[in-house]
Amino acid sequence: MEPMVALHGNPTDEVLQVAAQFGVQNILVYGGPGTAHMKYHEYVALRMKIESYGLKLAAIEGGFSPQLEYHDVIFGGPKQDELIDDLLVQVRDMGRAGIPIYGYNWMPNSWGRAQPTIVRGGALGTGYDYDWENSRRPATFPEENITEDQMWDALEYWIKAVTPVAEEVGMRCGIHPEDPPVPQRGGVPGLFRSFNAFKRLVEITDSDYNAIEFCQGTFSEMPGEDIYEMIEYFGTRNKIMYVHFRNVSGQAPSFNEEFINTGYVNMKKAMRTYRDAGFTGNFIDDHCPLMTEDEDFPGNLGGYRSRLFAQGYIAGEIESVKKEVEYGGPVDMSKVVKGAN
Amino acid sequence: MRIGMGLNSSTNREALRFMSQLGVQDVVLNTPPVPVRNGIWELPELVGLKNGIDEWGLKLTAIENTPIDMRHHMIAGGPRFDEQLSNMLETIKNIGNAGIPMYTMSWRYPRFYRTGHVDIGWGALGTAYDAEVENWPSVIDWDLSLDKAWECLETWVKEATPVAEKYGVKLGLHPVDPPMPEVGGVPQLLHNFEGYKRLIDIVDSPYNSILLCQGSFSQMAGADQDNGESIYDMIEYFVKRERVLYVHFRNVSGTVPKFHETFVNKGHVDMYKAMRIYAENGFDGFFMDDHVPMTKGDTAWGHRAKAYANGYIQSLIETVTDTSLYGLHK
Repeated sequence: MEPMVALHGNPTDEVLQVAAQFGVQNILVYGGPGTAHMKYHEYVALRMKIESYGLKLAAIEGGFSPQLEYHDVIFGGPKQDELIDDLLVQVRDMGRAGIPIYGYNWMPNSWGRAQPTIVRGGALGTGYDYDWENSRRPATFPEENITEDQMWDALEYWIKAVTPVAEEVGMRCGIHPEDPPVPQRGGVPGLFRSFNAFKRLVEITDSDYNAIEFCQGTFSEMPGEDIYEMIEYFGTRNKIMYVHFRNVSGQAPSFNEEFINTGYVNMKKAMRTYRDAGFTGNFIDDHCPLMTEDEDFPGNLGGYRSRLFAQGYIAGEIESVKKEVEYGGPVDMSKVVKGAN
Repeated sequence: MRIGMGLNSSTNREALRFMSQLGVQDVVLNTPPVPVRNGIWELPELVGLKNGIDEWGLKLTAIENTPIDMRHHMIAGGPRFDEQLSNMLETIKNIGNAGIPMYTMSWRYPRFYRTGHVDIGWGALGTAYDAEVENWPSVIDWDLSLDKAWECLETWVKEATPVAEKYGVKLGLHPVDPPMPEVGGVPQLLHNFEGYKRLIDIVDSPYNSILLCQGSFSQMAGADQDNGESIYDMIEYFVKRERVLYVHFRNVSGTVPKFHETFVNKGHVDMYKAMRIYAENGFDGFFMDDHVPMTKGDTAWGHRAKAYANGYIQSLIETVTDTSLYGLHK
């Protein structure tokens, strides 16, 4: 278990130097098929640039699913095989270039939010409300009647095609949940919105190379699900490639993002659950609240300050849950007599 | 146990909002910009200072240091000892009446200093000290023996503690940093475990306490040895006796005569182990980040590095005690 930070494609020297200084040794770069049509040698160059700062290119994350050109891969259609062949060329290139993990999603409408919410001290967390979104979002494909069964068929076809290639080139592939995890947006079903959907995914092909991009934030947003149970279930089955370690106020249909230790999820308990499940992967801060006068960060939501707060918290969590084992757990505060200060 | 943050010589509103967004619970103002009038800080301006912090939903828990020229004769036994002592007692009275519950100061003259900076990895800079290159000239033009220096400190503690008790201001002394036995011709007292044991025995009262700059204690000769006087032994000793007001939670590479500061989770001190000792012994104060390394692109104050250290400290507090700083997840 180590910290990781996510950067936009072509990371600058400056941000890599900052990551190296703070000891965040694992780098995730947003990109991959559908977002950056990079060739083998470009992936090698990216990895070598990151390694020149003493860091590791630990994952590429992105999604071809929101790109219209991949419609037939996501829903099935006449160009399905041709498009998959092209995607597999790219997957092979990434794996051969030494990239160990590829996280993607199955979200044709990408991710969605409603109005932001004021959180601690006037910082802003993204907000979500199902009715708010759906009263504004038109049908994505008005001429089509898209069903979940149709999407599952296309998904299974893809998993069966990509997993052997992933195994061959030694690059684990895994899917990010639907964020927000709601039944539909714009008439497109949200396939990966529940515990059961992910159980179904990992059973399509029983392989470590058919795995999950475990956005703990999104799993925490799933209505009625127990986040710790899901971590334990997928962690013990070695299905978690890495973790988006962020927190939220509650579950869909309405929630907002929070600072890492002010959401409803007990992050200490979550981190202990990963440890006990035998998880050995990395943790990214993912989205962070927008703090006033923060400095733009070349990555996902949140600036340098907000992100480094989360990174400090994550570093402390990882260190603590590892070290507490030799002490037999945290200090039992019920037995401590408090002082007078 | 709570999370705090400090601000030097300023009540900058942007910094206060930054603290508020990070969830800081206790604010420490180091040498805040309060005018010195007739050698003292007066009540109305201290009330204004406190209100200016409270309006951000924060709490002004401690003032750390007054300008050094309000108290250098008192610390170093100069000819204006009596005058400065009496002015400091008046200032403490005003701090208490303003509703500020702690006053801490560095019992040292001359001021904090370093001899350079060290690259602690990929161009991040930590402050560094090396006794070999230190060259303080003498800063006093009077004689001061070690015994006389102790007499000054004892007089202060005996005079100030009853005033502090009466006006509800807990007093805590910060170590000399770097913790050397003599600086600039001035014998230093609070540079080791023994000095601090002697300090708290002068008057046995929680109003005669310690600002446990864990960084400075970690720099003390022998603090990195398993010798009964390690940093962990010192923390346990003073926390058990309820004499620690709050903690500067920073880390260093080693001890005098040569050390440098580093990231909070990178130095010779196992910060997780340290945090457990505070918790196990019933510490009920707060932790603040104190000095942080200079990193690429950061502000002069170090917003990024401070946010990182603050997040790390919050995490350790919450995980060691298995509680939430904000009363969540019950």
